[in-house]
Amino acid sequence: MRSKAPLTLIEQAVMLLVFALAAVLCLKAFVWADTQSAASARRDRALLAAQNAAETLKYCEGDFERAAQIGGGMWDGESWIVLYDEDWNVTDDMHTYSLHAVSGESGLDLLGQATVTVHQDELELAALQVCWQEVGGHG
Amino acid sequence: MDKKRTTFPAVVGGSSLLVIFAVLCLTVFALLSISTVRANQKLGDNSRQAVEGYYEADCMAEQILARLRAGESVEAVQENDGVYSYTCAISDTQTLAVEVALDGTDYTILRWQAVSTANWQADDTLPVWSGE
Repeated sequence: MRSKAPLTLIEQAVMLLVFALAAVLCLKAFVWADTQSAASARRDRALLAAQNAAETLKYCEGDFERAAQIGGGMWDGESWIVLYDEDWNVTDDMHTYSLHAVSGESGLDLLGQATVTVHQDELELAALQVCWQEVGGHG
Repeated sequence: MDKKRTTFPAVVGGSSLLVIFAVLCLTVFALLSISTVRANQKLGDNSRQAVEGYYEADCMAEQILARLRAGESVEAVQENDGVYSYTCAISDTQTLAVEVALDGTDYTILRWQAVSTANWQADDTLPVWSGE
């Protein structure tokens, strides 16, 4: 009677190979999914930060210094800069994300305009344009 | 007298079944992860589009208001006894409706509201017992 051990051994080897291949592919998929999920969460959070800054600027009617006092960060005379750490807490030291609000030309005397952008290093995560009325009025 | 030796045949195929089951489970979970991430990405993109659309409409509305305050007459703006009304499109289904009372360069915002312009019809295809 011929031994079936070689057949079993070959079967085990083939199954191990198949499992290893499938595991590598699925692991790649899991890692990709995790990376994409983290990137998506970063973009959503950056958009929220940009929205908050835009609304603060509208409330302050373009007073960047006052906006910096309310929303954090600093006003250097040209732009309002807010630095965030990796957990999106405002920080002065090592930062992961940065928000810049820069005044722009609206073309109208009674209209103020600014562009708010959020960056992670060189990558732009969010950008919004915000306008407000200059001088006088209420509502 | 020869004794009959009973030998059990090698169990061929048992581990194959186990590995096939494990691979199937791995594949299903991987596909579920990918599907969830794609859905989240789509939601994030739609949300971003909605926010950017709102701020574009908001800027447009502020521009029109600034021009009205400067004394310009603007197309598509309706005026009724010092109250100016106009709309700015946010998306295909939403618009920003504005009503402002002007007195020279002073203004009072009466309405600055995002309203839906999509046709909405109640779905009454499922018959619900009315109690009678």
